[in-house]
Amino acid sequence: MSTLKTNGIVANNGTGPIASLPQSGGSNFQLGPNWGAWEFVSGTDLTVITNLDFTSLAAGYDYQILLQGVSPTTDAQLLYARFSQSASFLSGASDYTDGTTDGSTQIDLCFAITAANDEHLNMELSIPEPNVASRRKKIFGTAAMGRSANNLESFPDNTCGRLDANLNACDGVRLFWASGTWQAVGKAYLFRRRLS
Amino acid sequence: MARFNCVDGVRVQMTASEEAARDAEEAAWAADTERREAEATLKETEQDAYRLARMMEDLIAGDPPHAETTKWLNKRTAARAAMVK
Repeated sequence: MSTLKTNGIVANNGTGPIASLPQSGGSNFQLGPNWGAWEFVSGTDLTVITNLDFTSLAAGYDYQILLQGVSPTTDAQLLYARFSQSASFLSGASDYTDGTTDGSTQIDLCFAITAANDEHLNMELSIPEPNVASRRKKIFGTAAMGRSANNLESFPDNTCGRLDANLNACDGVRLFWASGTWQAVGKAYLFRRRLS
Repeated sequence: MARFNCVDGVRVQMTASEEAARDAEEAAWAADTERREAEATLKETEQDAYRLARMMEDLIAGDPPHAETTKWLNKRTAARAAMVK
Protein backbone atom coordinates (compact mmCIF):
# COMPACT_ATOMS: atom_id res chain seq x y z
CA MET A 1 0.00 0.00 0.00
CA SER A 2 1.36 3.40 -0.95
CA THR A 3 1.57 6.31 1.44
CA LEU A 4 0.37 9.80 0.57
CA LYS A 5 2.80 12.35 1.92
CA THR A 6 0.90 15.63 2.00
CA ASN A 7 3.97 17.69 2.89
CA GLY A 8 5.36 16.90 -0.57
CA ILE A 9 2.33 18.19 -2.47
CA VAL A 10 2.84 21.65 -3.95
CA ALA A 11 0.36 23.95 -5.66
CA ASN A 12 1.06 24.87 -9.27
CA ASN A 13 -2.24 26.51 -10.23
CA GLY A 14 -3.61 28.07 -7.06
CA THR A 15 -2.93 28.34 -3.37
CA GLY A 16 -2.50 25.51 -0.91
CA PRO A 17 -1.49 21.90 -1.42
CA ILE A 18 -2.78 20.10 -4.51
CA ALA A 19 -2.11 16.78 -6.30
CA SER A 20 -3.57 14.54 -8.97
CA LEU A 21 -3.96 10.92 -7.96
CA PRO A 22 -3.12 8.24 -8.77
CA GLN A 23 0.15 9.48 -10.23
CA SER A 24 0.26 6.64 -12.79
CA GLY A 25 -2.44 4.37 -14.22
CA GLY A 26 -6.18 4.44 -13.57
CA SER A 27 -8.53 7.41 -13.70
CA ASN A 28 -7.15 10.67 -12.45
CA PHE A 29 -8.81 12.71 -9.70
CA GLN A 30 -7.58 15.82 -8.00
CA LEU A 31 -6.82 16.10 -4.32
CA GLY A 32 -6.13 19.51 -2.89
CA PRO A 33 -7.58 22.69 -1.44
CA ASN A 34 -10.95 22.13 -3.13
CA TRP A 35 -11.82 19.04 -1.12
CA GLY A 36 -13.96 20.95 1.39
CA ALA A 37 -12.22 19.76 4.54
CA TRP A 38 -11.60 22.04 7.48
CA GLU A 39 -8.05 23.34 7.44
CA PHE A 40 -6.18 24.21 10.63
CA VAL A 41 -5.24 27.91 10.82
CA SER A 42 -4.06 28.49 14.38
CA GLY A 43 -4.20 27.25 17.98
CA THR A 44 -3.57 29.54 20.93
CA ASP A 45 -3.14 28.84 24.65
CA LEU A 46 -5.11 31.54 26.46
CA THR A 47 -3.20 34.05 28.58
CA VAL A 48 -4.59 36.93 30.63
CA ILE A 49 -5.86 39.17 27.84
CA THR A 50 -8.86 41.45 27.25
CA ASN A 51 -9.68 40.75 23.60
CA LEU A 52 -9.17 37.52 21.69
CA ASP A 53 -8.77 38.59 18.06
CA PHE A 54 -8.76 36.50 14.89
CA THR A 55 -7.65 38.78 12.05
CA SER A 56 -6.72 38.55 8.35
CA LEU A 57 -9.70 36.31 7.54
CA ALA A 58 -9.27 35.56 3.83
CA ALA A 59 -11.84 35.86 1.05
CA GLY A 60 -13.36 32.61 -0.21
CA TYR A 61 -13.44 30.73 3.11
CA ASP A 62 -15.86 29.76 5.87
CA TYR A 63 -14.30 30.00 9.33
CA GLN A 64 -14.81 28.09 12.55
CA ILE A 65 -13.61 29.04 16.03
CA LEU A 66 -13.30 26.40 18.75
CA LEU A 67 -13.01 27.43 22.38
CA GLN A 68 -11.83 24.57 24.59
CA GLY A 69 -12.18 24.96 28.36
CA VAL A 70 -11.93 28.77 28.53
CA SER A 71 -13.17 31.07 31.28
CA PRO A 72 -13.55 34.73 32.26
CA THR A 73 -11.50 36.01 35.18
CA THR A 74 -14.57 37.55 36.81
CA ASP A 75 -17.68 35.55 37.66
CA ALA A 76 -20.98 35.84 35.75
CA GLN A 77 -19.74 37.32 32.46
CA LEU A 78 -21.39 37.34 29.03
CA LEU A 79 -19.22 36.44 26.04
CA TYR A 80 -19.37 39.05 23.27
CA ALA A 81 -18.31 39.13 19.60
CA ARG A 82 -17.55 41.88 17.10
CA PHE A 83 -16.57 41.91 13.42
CA SER A 84 -13.82 44.02 11.89
CA GLN A 85 -13.72 45.76 8.52
CA SER A 86 -10.37 46.95 7.15
CA ALA A 87 -8.81 45.78 10.45
CA SER A 88 -11.04 48.09 12.53
CA PHE A 89 -13.56 46.49 14.93
CA LEU A 90 -17.08 47.90 14.65
CA SER A 91 -18.64 49.05 17.92
CA GLY A 92 -21.41 51.49 16.95
CA ALA A 93 -24.49 51.79 19.19
CA SER A 94 -26.69 49.68 16.89
CA ASP A 95 -24.15 47.78 14.79
CA TYR A 96 -25.28 44.29 15.90
CA THR A 97 -28.33 42.14 16.58
CA ASP A 98 -28.46 38.92 18.59
CA GLY A 99 -31.04 36.59 20.13
CA THR A 100 -32.13 39.09 22.76
CA THR A 101 -31.23 42.60 21.56
CA ASP A 102 -31.98 44.36 18.29
CA GLY A 103 -29.39 47.10 17.96
CA SER A 104 -26.37 46.68 20.19
CA THR A 105 -22.65 47.49 20.34
CA GLN A 106 -21.82 43.75 20.18
CA ILE A 107 -23.24 40.24 19.74
CA ASP A 108 -24.02 38.44 23.00
CA LEU A 109 -23.02 34.79 22.54
CA CYS A 110 -24.07 33.13 25.80
CA PHE A 111 -25.67 33.23 29.23
CA ALA A 112 -23.61 34.63 32.11
CA ILE A 113 -20.72 32.22 32.64
CA THR A 114 -19.08 31.24 35.89
CA ALA A 115 -15.38 31.66 36.52
CA ALA A 116 -15.23 28.56 38.72
CA ASN A 117 -12.14 26.57 37.89
CA ASP A 118 -13.92 23.22 37.60
CA GLU A 119 -16.42 24.39 34.96
CA HIS A 120 -15.25 26.45 31.95
CA LEU A 121 -16.79 27.07 28.53
CA ASN A 122 -16.55 24.87 25.44
CA MET A 123 -17.95 26.40 22.28
CA GLU A 124 -18.00 25.94 18.50
CA LEU A 125 -18.65 29.08 16.45
CA SER A 126 -19.31 29.16 12.71
CA ILE A 127 -18.63 32.31 10.69
CA PRO A 128 -19.82 31.64 7.12
CA GLU A 129 -17.75 33.47 4.51
CA PRO A 130 -16.99 36.65 6.46
CA ASN A 131 -14.81 38.22 3.77
CA VAL A 132 -17.40 38.72 1.01
CA ALA A 133 -19.18 41.94 0.05
CA SER A 134 -22.94 42.52 -0.22
CA ARG A 135 -23.97 39.77 2.19
CA ARG A 136 -25.23 39.75 5.80
CA LYS A 137 -22.47 38.55 8.20
CA LYS A 138 -23.51 36.15 10.93
CA ILE A 139 -21.93 34.14 13.70
CA PHE A 140 -23.63 31.15 15.30
CA GLY A 141 -22.76 28.14 17.37
CA THR A 142 -23.31 25.73 20.21
CA ALA A 143 -21.82 25.61 23.66
CA ALA A 144 -21.58 23.77 26.96
CA MET A 145 -20.96 26.11 29.88
CA GLY A 146 -21.06 26.60 33.61
CA ARG A 147 -23.98 29.00 34.01
CA SER A 148 -24.14 31.49 36.88
CA ALA A 149 -27.95 31.53 37.23
CA ASN A 150 -29.26 28.66 39.37
CA ASN A 151 -25.71 27.37 39.81
CA LEU A 152 -25.92 25.05 36.79
CA GLU A 153 -22.51 23.49 36.25
CA SER A 154 -23.15 22.13 32.77
CA PHE A 155 -25.61 24.08 30.67
CA PRO A 156 -26.30 23.92 26.90
CA ASP A 157 -26.59 26.96 24.65
CA ASN A 158 -27.37 27.63 21.00
CA THR A 159 -26.40 31.10 19.92
CA CYS A 160 -26.43 33.47 16.95
CA GLY A 161 -25.99 37.10 16.04
CA ARG A 162 -25.35 39.29 13.05
CA LEU A 163 -23.68 42.46 11.90
CA ASP A 164 -26.40 45.03 11.26
CA ALA A 165 -24.25 48.02 10.36
CA ASN A 166 -23.71 47.10 6.69
CA LEU A 167 -23.12 44.24 4.23
CA ASN A 168 -19.43 44.96 3.62
CA ALA A 169 -16.66 42.36 3.75
CA CYS A 170 -15.27 41.54 7.21
CA ASP A 171 -11.67 40.56 7.91
CA GLY A 172 -11.67 39.75 11.62
CA VAL A 173 -13.62 38.54 14.66
CA ARG A 174 -13.07 39.64 18.26
CA LEU A 175 -14.26 37.64 21.28
CA PHE A 176 -14.30 39.33 24.69
CA TRP A 177 -16.08 39.25 28.04
CA ALA A 178 -18.59 41.91 29.06
CA SER A 179 -16.16 42.94 31.76
CA GLY A 180 -12.64 41.89 32.73
CA THR A 181 -10.19 39.54 31.07
CA TRP A 182 -9.81 35.95 29.87
CA GLN A 183 -8.30 33.58 32.39
CA ALA A 184 -5.05 31.86 31.43
CA VAL A 185 -6.85 28.54 30.93
CA GLY A 186 -7.97 26.62 27.86
CA LYS A 187 -7.21 26.99 24.18
CA ALA A 188 -8.70 28.75 21.16
CA TYR A 189 -8.49 27.23 17.69
CA LEU A 190 -9.25 28.69 14.26
CA PHE A 191 -10.14 26.54 11.24
CA ARG A 192 -11.22 27.47 7.71
CA ARG A 193 -12.93 25.74 4.77
CA ARG A 194 -12.36 26.76 1.17
CA LEU A 195 -15.51 27.51 -0.82
CA SER A 196 -14.30 26.72 -4.34
CA MET B 1 -2.31 47.70 35.05
CA ALA B 2 -1.58 47.30 31.36
CA ARG B 3 -4.17 45.59 29.20
CA PHE B 4 -3.36 43.12 26.43
CA ASN B 5 -5.04 41.69 23.36
CA CYS B 6 -4.33 38.32 21.81
CA VAL B 7 -4.05 38.93 18.05
CA ASP B 8 -3.72 35.70 16.06
CA GLY B 9 -2.01 34.03 19.00
CA VAL B 10 0.37 36.91 19.78
CA ARG B 11 0.00 38.90 23.01
CA VAL B 12 -0.08 42.60 22.15
CA GLN B 13 -0.29 45.51 24.59
CA MET B 14 -3.24 47.86 24.02
CA THR B 15 -2.63 51.44 23.00
CA ALA B 16 -3.66 54.17 25.44
CA SER B 17 -6.76 55.00 23.38
CA GLU B 18 -7.79 51.33 23.15
CA GLU B 19 -7.41 51.03 26.91
CA ALA B 20 -9.48 54.16 27.51
CA ALA B 21 -12.26 52.85 25.24
CA ARG B 22 -12.30 49.52 27.06
CA ASP B 23 -12.34 51.24 30.48
CA ALA B 24 -15.37 53.26 29.36
CA GLU B 25 -17.17 50.09 28.20
CA GLU B 26 -16.52 48.34 31.50
CA ALA B 27 -17.72 51.36 33.45
CA ALA B 28 -20.95 51.39 31.43
CA TRP B 29 -21.37 47.64 32.08
CA ALA B 30 -20.89 48.12 35.84
CA ALA B 31 -23.34 51.04 35.93
CA ASP B 32 -25.93 48.84 34.22
CA THR B 33 -25.63 45.90 36.67
CA GLU B 34 -28.81 46.53 38.63
CA ARG B 35 -31.04 46.82 35.57
CA ARG B 36 -29.43 43.77 33.95
CA GLU B 37 -29.94 41.60 37.02
CA ALA B 38 -33.55 42.74 37.31
CA GLU B 39 -34.12 41.83 33.67
CA ALA B 40 -32.54 38.37 34.13
CA THR B 41 -34.70 37.71 37.18
CA LEU B 42 -37.79 38.83 35.29
CA LYS B 43 -36.98 36.48 32.41
CA GLU B 44 -36.50 33.54 34.78
CA THR B 45 -39.78 34.37 36.53
CA GLU B 46 -41.63 34.57 33.21
CA GLN B 47 -40.29 31.16 32.24
CA ASP B 48 -41.30 29.70 35.61
CA ALA B 49 -44.80 31.16 35.27
CA TYR B 50 -45.14 29.76 31.76
CA ARG B 51 -44.08 26.28 32.87
CA LEU B 52 -46.33 26.44 35.92
CA ALA B 53 -49.28 27.33 33.69
CA ARG B 54 -48.53 24.41 31.43
CA MET B 55 -48.31 22.08 34.43
CA MET B 56 -51.74 23.30 35.64
CA GLU B 57 -53.22 22.77 32.18
CA ASP B 58 -51.94 19.18 32.14
CA LEU B 59 -53.29 18.57 35.64
CA ILE B 60 -56.74 19.97 34.80
CA ALA B 61 -56.87 17.99 31.57
CA GLY B 62 -55.86 14.86 33.46
CA ASP B 63 -52.80 14.47 31.20
CA PRO B 64 -49.48 13.19 32.56
CA PRO B 65 -46.97 16.01 33.09
CA HIS B 66 -45.11 17.00 29.95
CA ALA B 67 -41.50 15.75 29.80
CA GLU B 68 -40.28 19.36 29.78
CA THR B 69 -42.23 20.07 32.98
CA THR B 70 -40.66 17.13 34.76
CA LYS B 71 -37.21 18.19 33.58
CA TRP B 72 -37.85 21.74 34.80
CA LEU B 73 -39.01 20.55 38.23
CA ASN B 74 -35.97 18.28 38.56
CA LYS B 75 -33.64 21.13 37.60
CA ARG B 76 -35.21 23.47 40.12
CA THR B 77 -34.92 20.85 42.84
CA ALA B 78 -31.26 20.26 41.96
CA ALA B 79 -30.53 23.99 41.83
CA ARG B 80 -32.12 24.53 45.24
CA ALA B 81 -30.17 21.59 46.70
CA ALA B 82 -26.93 23.02 45.27
CA MET B 83 -27.64 26.42 46.80
CA VAL B 84 -28.33 24.90 50.23
CA LYS B 85 -25.03 23.02 50.38
